[in-house]
Amino acid sequence: MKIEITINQKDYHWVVDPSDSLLKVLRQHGFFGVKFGGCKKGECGACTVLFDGKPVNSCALLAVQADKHSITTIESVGEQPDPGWKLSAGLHPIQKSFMETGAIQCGYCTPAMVLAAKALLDKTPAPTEEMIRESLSGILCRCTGYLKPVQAIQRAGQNGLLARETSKLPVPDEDSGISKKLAGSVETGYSGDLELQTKVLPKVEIGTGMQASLKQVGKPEVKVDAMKLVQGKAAFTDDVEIRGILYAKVLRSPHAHARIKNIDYSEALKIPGVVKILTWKDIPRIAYSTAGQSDPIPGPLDSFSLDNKVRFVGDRVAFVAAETEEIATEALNFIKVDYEILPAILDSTTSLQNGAVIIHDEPEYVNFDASDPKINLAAKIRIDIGNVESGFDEADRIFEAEYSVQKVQQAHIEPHVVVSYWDEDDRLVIRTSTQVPFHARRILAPVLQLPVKRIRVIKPRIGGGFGGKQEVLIEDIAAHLTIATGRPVRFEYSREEEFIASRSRHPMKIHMKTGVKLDGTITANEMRCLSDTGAYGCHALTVAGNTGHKAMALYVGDGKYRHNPNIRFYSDVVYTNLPPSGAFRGYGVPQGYWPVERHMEKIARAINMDPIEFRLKNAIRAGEVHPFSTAWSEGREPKPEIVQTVGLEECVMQGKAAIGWDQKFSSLDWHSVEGKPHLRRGVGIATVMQGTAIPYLDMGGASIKMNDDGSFNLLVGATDLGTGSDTVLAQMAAEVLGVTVEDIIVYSSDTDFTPFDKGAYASSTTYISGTAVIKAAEIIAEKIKKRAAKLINRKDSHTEIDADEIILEDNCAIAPNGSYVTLTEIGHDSLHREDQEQIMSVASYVSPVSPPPFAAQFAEVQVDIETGMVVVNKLVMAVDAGVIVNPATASGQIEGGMTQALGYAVCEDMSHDESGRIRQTDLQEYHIFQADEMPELTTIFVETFEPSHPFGIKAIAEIPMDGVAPAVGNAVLDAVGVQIDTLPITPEKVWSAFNPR
Amino acid sequence: MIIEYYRPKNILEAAALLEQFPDSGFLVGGGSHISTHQPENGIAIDLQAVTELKEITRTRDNIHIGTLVTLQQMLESEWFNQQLRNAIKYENGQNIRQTATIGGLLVTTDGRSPLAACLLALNLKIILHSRETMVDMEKWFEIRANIKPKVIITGVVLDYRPILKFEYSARTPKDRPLVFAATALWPNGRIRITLAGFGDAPVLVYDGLDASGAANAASNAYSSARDFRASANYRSDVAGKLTERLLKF
Repeated sequence: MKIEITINQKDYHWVVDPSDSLLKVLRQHGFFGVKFGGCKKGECGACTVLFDGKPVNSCALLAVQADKHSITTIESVGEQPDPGWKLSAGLHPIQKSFMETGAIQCGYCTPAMVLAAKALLDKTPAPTEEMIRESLSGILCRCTGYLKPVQAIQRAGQNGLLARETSKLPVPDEDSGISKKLAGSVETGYSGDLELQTKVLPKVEIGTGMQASLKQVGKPEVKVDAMKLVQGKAAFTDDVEIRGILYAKVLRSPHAHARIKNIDYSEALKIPGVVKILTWKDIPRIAYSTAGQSDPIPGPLDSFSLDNKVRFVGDRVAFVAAETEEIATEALNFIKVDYEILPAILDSTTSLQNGAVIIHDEPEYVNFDASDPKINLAAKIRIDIGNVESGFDEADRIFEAEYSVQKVQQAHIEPHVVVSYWDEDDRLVIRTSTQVPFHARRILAPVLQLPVKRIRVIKPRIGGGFGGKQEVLIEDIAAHLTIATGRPVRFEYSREEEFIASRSRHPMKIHMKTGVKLDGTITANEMRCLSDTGAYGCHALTVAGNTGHKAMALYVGDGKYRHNPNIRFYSDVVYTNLPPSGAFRGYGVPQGYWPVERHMEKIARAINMDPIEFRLKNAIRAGEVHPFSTAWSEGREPKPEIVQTVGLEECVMQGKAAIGWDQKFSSLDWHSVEGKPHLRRGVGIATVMQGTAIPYLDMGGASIKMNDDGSFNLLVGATDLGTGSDTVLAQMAAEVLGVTVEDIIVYSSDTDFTPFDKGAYASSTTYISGTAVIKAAEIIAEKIKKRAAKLINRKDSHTEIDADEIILEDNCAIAPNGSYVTLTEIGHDSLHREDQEQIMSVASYVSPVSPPPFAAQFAEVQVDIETGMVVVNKLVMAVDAGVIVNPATASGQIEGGMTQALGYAVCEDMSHDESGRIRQTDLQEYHIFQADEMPELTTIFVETFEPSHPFGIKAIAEIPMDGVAPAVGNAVLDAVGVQIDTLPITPEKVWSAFNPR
Repeated sequence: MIIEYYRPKNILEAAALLEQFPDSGFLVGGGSHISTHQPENGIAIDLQAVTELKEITRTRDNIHIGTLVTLQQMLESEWFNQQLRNAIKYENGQNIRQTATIGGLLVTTDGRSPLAACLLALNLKIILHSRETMVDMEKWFEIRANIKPKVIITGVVLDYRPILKFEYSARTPKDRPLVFAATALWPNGRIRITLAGFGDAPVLVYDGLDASGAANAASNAYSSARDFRASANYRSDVAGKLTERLLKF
């Protein structure tokens, strides 16, 4: 039917189907700033538009409802401030504020937030924090923890800085390196009564002091992709229009375990618009692993694009390609499948039992290491460091307990999405939202029976990944259908598919056994872990390995045990008929720290020792050997590593001060709440360590090319999934080349054009890819200096400047005598004048070490002793991640990570019914934290200088995930004296502890 | 799948369309549930142009709320007390509140709705087009699934005199409640107590002047309220405790 609609002050006359959502129609007409979050009920809000000035979810409205109404999309808000000769009104103050405050991470929900903010500020120019959080309450963000978006909106209001058109980034305090504005300190113009719920405290430096001499590193630069993201530009995978594209859908198994006896899709093919249906009979049967890891993949090859067996509810049965999404969906109903239903394993404790049904009985299965499909074993780890039994014998007391952690979802707001097509050279182009474009190309090649050289993977901006996109999860579906039809194919997961057919954090059952002397010395520490990998073994070995490698490495013991710790880590990773587990930010380490940190708390209290003193007494210190480096390296030969920098003690001191530990922990009065006899308060701590990249394995590459004007193209295969890695890589290049970030044009990533990079995982990009960038920049800097010396010497025949004496600074090459040439002159000379050459470089880097970041994480909770409800009021994280390259993006990582970890602690849980069907299929039932229910967040950087990196950095992206849950668990213990050993900490679990049967 | 869409200008037109399409016709209020509640070959009858259904008016004791009044409008109206506004905020985030209507809430709500529990405690009356009497909310929940022929809710009437309070238990402050208890206290001492957090609709557990047994009644009301989110033992115990807590005011 016809509708008349005003969009961004322009009238449109469109013909729409009565069933079409407003979202669908807007995107069909190129309004790509309106995003799709995969939901049906408007839970995520990524599709926000202003409907007659009010923010609404366009996914939940019919296009016909918008007939004769006015719609505002992000495309009408602000514009590129410098479009060449044309005058521009520039960005809207809200957009500027979002950029300058660091409020943008992946940017997928940013247009929605900007519009919601606009609606608020149009009505209430100086809103309170509560009003701002209310305005964002309908928009879920998985990256930021909402802190910086709230700050941005507050600043953009009439009382904020940007109302006066301040155009500079919040200026960092030269002493602290932290933006005063982000710190909420002394900037004039900032609303005096601003009391935002998050603080970023000044960093504490423990190191060489080199940081002070850096000009680009250590500064809160605006993200290099912020301009396009804040305008809602067509930056993401699905923001393209390709003529003749087909839409794919997948028929999924209703059974947890069944053999497909027959599939009849003849009726489905008769539906007009259905172009192709593929089943296991139609495509090559190639065993592979979907895990996006370096070659050789450290896990079994146990997956097929399509198989004659289904192994979980939601497993693939058939692919459909049709002219429209609706037709493809309808076709699924007409595919008849005859199943032979098999017994299913839904409890990991039964997987290894004698007589258990074998989930992987296919002959093509390829083992890795100790995997054994005949007993449903996907991986097995046995690590003994020192003499654990002797350690137990030497202990005065032995503590044993059982713990468990649940299955949780990454819940990135942009679903998995891919578009594939043949290009004009008959090469298969796969445009996909992936963290691992190069691994995807390598893994897909045999599956598609194409050589690597005939596949090109393009990674546009990614709307969040968190490990969920470290998986070659859906690319093969579109690719098979493109090969089968010759046509472009688009495939996107619904939110339900994200839950039932994606990857998730491995649930684990863990037994801890620890020997302790009465003085608090740990003599031996043992973890036995049963990990549930679900139906496929992607990341099975390495996630479990990381659980021990990081969580069990922190406490080595004191005295003689420091040099000869006794540590045991055993893990069985088993198959079940549940949706597969996989990579999720933290990668096994949050699973490990829940039991370790709960256990340490119990032990300290049992031996009447201060829990913090107990932890620090036994924690690893600088100069000591990382205990696991002697024993395990993801299935490869281990090589011992010395831990060079440990800022843990300072983290503890800073964190204690920030949360007011000394005033609260031992104060009886503080633990009760006046006038609320049913409430108790408590504080808790967890200390944690992570890793930085995978040594001797993962490689990053970078190339840099100099342009006529002295700017540089930086090409990296690294994948910025919203973390800001493109920006920090640009900062490091700029530091070496003596330019600003604006002079570095970053492009990532495209397997045809950018150098190889392992991708974004294992907290590696800043460290590994960053070092590659620095090396590439150093090579190009040498070339620039040589040419500069020539030019300077040519200008002044009386001097003979040596290239080695030249420094690069302020876009110039400067000689010791003060003479200089600009980089523009050098670039122009190199391309157009004498001895012409393209000044460029390429470099790569593999690290021999994995320097661990450390952190102390604190939680303050309020517990209702009648209902068991736990409200987390404060989270504090003091972190030693080495030198912080960009405090704005780094603190954003901490805030967002803590928020995700908080969900892990108290609410996020993927449970299944008796048939193996996941119960949580939307973002209402699977609740993630909203803007209007956040605790106060505080981030403190304790900077050490890691000597293995040119700028002294360590990783920061994953460590915030590790300690929140145990800190909350320990705070609950402090508040009400009950031990909760299983995650999440639900009201009923706390209540049950008070009301034992 | 919607095959036709109508936008009547008044209630009579809407009622006529509903009569014309007794099986396939369905009403669209704000539309916040349209993507999940589309009948096969449905005829959408969008009420947005029926402006008479968008008003909030007040008499001495009551507030009349048109069926198309959105939850956001209610939140922004000064006529509703703070606790009810808090329940509205708890019910949905802002985007959904902009389109979700009071009429839509009554049609689609389940037993986990904080706002529905509060409205039930406040003894909300529902006005159905062409019916002579108003329907109590608890009665509405009994009949709504099978009401034939389909009717138009034209509005609701809310008694604004009672003092509303609620307490709840949930995994986070804005997660759907596991147990939600609401009480409404009238100037004459009448108390109504409702529960939410389970099932198809909130339940009324007490309505009277002497609430001495109300906590037990609440506990009993949820004695079988078991699902994967919480056990019946938990819900029953907490329902009783929250009710006791509320009755202390």
